[in-house]
Amino acid sequence: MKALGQLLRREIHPFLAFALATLVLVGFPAWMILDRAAILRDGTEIVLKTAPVDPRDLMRGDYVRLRYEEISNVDGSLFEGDLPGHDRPVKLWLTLHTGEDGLAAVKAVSVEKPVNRAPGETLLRSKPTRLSRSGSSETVAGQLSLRFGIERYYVPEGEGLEIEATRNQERTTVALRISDKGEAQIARIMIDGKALYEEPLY
Amino acid sequence: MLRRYLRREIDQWVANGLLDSAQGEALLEDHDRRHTGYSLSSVLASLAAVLFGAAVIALVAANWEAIARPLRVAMIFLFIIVGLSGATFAVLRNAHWIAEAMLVFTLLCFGAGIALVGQMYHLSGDEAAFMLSWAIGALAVSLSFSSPMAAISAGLLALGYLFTVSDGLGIFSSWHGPDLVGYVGALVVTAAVGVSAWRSRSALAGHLCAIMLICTMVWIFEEGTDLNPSYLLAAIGALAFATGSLVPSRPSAPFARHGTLSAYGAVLLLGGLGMVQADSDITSLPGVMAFAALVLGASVGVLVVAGGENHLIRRFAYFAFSCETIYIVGETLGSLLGSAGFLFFGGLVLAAMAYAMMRLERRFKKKGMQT
Repeated sequence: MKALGQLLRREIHPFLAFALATLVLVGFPAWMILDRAAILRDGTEIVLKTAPVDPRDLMRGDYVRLRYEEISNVDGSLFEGDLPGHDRPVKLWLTLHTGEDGLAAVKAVSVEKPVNRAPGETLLRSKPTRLSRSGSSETVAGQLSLRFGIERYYVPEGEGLEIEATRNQERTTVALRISDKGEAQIARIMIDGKALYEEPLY
Repeated sequence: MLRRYLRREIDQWVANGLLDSAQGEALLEDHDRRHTGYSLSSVLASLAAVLFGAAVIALVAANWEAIARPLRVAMIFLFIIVGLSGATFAVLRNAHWIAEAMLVFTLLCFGAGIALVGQMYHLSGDEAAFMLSWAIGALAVSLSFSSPMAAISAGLLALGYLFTVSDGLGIFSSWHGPDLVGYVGALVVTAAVGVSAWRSRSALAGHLCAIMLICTMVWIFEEGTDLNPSYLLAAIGALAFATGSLVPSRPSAPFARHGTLSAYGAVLLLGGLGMVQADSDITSLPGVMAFAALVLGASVGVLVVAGGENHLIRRFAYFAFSCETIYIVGETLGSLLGSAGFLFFGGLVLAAMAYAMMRLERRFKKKGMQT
């Protein structure tokens, strides 16, 4: 016990401490950036209609809150496959299909990752959510309220109003890039199909 | 605080003729020379570090387009490296307070860096992940540099993580059912905060670790079981108090008898019992009285066992006792006889306690003279 306490208190050389701390403090954000840039570069692109609203974040500045007509609220009747045995939060897989108008629509929702998908279909993974059964049957009741970590768009201070002004006119669309793991990354914000903000890789 | 206490005591000794007034002044001067100037400069250095760090965070939040994004990332990395190199050279020159200030600045820049990545790639709904990443950075700094300030930061950030990931310890959570990954994660972070507190010899970080452990337990209990977490708090408190105060002390024991462990035990036991009482649906007068008697008995018991040795425990037990008395008066206001009888009984208990305390304190004094 005492020996362990002494071992845990052993001081390391300041140069080694510098190297270790730098590795974590610089390495971690760098890894996050590379991870996200990879989704932007290699992900499959889909386009969704959106409705923006405008609040503020203390540490990251102004942002526009985005709601997606197609995927933020999904009808429970689209649910396929088995429900989890326990009542716990689960991440859901959405199968999206791009229609004639170029906008993606939800075809199916499931807990298990769908194995075979038709060409033109993309898989998107939600943040954990809770499913409520309808009665005792193996179906999902009502609307599913889903989040994907793409509900905010950060803009330079004071510019949020510009996008917000178009919110009730159904003219704003968002292009997403989606990785093989179903993670989504905002690539462009468009008004009337023209890019308002285009995301650089870095 | 300490200086005021010292001044008062020295004045008292001088008045009693135990000490020359010149000697008293000399003692105070010696105290001032060794404490004041040193801590003032270190406090100023830390404040400056916090201000610089806040400026970096504000710079990120402004999302200022005049500086290109890759340049902003490079600036943050540069600040982190400058902060860490500054700390390294300060440690090499034994200027520990400057090192601490540098590390605080570095950690604020690191937080700004993760915020910047979130802003660049428009991440949302990741508050818990953000707090956890920041806490991990603070832990890395604290563990490598044995830094107390970084350990305290890590403790605070880890608590923030715990509250966001658990939806306020499960109290505001909309779902129930075990979240094993979350529990294990919280316990691992708690253990890491504990190690960094131990390494850096920071008592404050140690307290944060203890608070985190208690909060994690409450979370697991609230979400994973149908039981009321107050029972758990009372049980942990009783156990901790018994271990800290009733187990015979050995020189090699990892904690002092009637020390911090007992104090935590006393606070949790009495606080937990109070919460059980506030939540309970006992409405009959005898039932309420019986429970009140239990709480009063527990506070008296705590006082008798450890109150003489630990003034924190003594004050908390007095506090719990008075709260309980006020509660009883409130509960029994309808039946005056009941409360009068109870107050009379309470008075008897207090008198007995005062007598017991007098005996105890006299015995301590005797023991003190013998040794």
